[in-house]
Amino acid sequence: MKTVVLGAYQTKFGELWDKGLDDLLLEAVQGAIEDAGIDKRKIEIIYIGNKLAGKLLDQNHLSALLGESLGIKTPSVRVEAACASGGMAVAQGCLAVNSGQFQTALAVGVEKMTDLSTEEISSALMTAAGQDEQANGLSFVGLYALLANKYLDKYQAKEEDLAFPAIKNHFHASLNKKAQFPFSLTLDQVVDSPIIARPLKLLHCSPISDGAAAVVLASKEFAKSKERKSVYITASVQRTGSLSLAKRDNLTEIEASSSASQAAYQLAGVSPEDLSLLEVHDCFSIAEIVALEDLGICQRGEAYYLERNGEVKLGGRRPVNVSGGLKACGHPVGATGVKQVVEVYNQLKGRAGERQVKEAKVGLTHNVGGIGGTAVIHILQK
Amino acid sequence: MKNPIRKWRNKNKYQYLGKQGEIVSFTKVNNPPLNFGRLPYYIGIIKFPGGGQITGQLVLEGQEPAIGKKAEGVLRIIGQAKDEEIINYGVKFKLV
Repeated sequence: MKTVVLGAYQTKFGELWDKGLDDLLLEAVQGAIEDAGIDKRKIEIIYIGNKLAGKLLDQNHLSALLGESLGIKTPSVRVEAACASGGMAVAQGCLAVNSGQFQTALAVGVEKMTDLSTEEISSALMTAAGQDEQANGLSFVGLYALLANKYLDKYQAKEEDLAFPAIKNHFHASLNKKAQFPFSLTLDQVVDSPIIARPLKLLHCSPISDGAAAVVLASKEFAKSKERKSVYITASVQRTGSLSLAKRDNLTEIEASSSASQAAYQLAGVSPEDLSLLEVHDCFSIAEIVALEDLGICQRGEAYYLERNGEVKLGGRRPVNVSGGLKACGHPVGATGVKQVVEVYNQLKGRAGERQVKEAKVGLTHNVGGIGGTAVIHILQK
Repeated sequence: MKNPIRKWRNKNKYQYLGKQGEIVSFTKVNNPPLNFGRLPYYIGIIKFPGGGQITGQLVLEGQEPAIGKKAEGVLRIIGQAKDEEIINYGVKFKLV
């Protein structure tokens, strides 16, 4: 498969008090269309990744909302797959273009979260978990804490090891003006932050965010008319796993990520060693550690060494989350999977500014819904 | 679970009452979702020798939980019901 990415755009992520869901949606879509250099009427189908607008904002039917705002009557579909809604929207866009039925597709992800309290957001997010987990008062930080505790016990890692993904990703975000937290953190700041669900602390957790991101996808034939160097999506793979963590034999692996990435490497004809950079789903610091193992970047039980020795930092052998990741760039849940593709696209185009990865040729995005009920992998190449 | 009908449909969730299993992992929750007001509370994943693995709150009574410790299913109130909601009785796990 080869879908061309024609254009991409990300809004600022953060607590955007002056912007509503519709403002964010429109800014991202118009930004991506402008970047693609095409007329909005050339977009043949739209996929909108969103998880919470119905529950938090009493606003469903986003497909019609976007059509109304944009002034077009393009076919449009809302896609929901928990925190992987954005990645799933991109995957649907790839399917549409690769099917041959559509020459172009637009995938946009959006979420407006900061109008509500942390407890309300926590409860709303838990609709992506199993009934037992919800009934027992687990939150997602609690679920990932269960995974983290098992990981630390199994591999004899220390609680301090959980700090390094957050420190690295904050450093990356300090180079990204669109990040929610564009500043660095010290080890002491992370280690001394309040415990949310043992062993996870406040600064191991991604924030509650507003934001949107969009990409314009096209067939090779359509892109030829644009006469510019192309970035291709050479693999777009989605897998599902159990909804509940307790239904798994191995608590320290997200099987949906492992199987989706293996299929993606095969489709794209690349191996983990070929990757110039990765954007992975670090909703909590343990999630990035487990992701590196699931994606075959290292052996099981070794990822926290990579985090400690700087191998996955900008300038290291294989940078991970140069955008700042979910931790520091922010995590407007429906937007995250699209933002990851936007970041890798910008890196492959060589327009990532201060956080540019040198000679970036192949990038992978990894977007997870729930505690691994869904995983979506994209591989981009130039 | 506020809705009585949904509660009745989930009656098979009581199968672990009185059964002993092993703690596979656990955490202490300091920041709960809505309506789980009594803090902090512990939650574990319990694995049973005959097969089956489930998430449940832990009843500690002064003990410290640990991976590998044994726990037994007991009937307890879970969460906090509002005035007009049914009281949610469910299975928690008491350290053995």
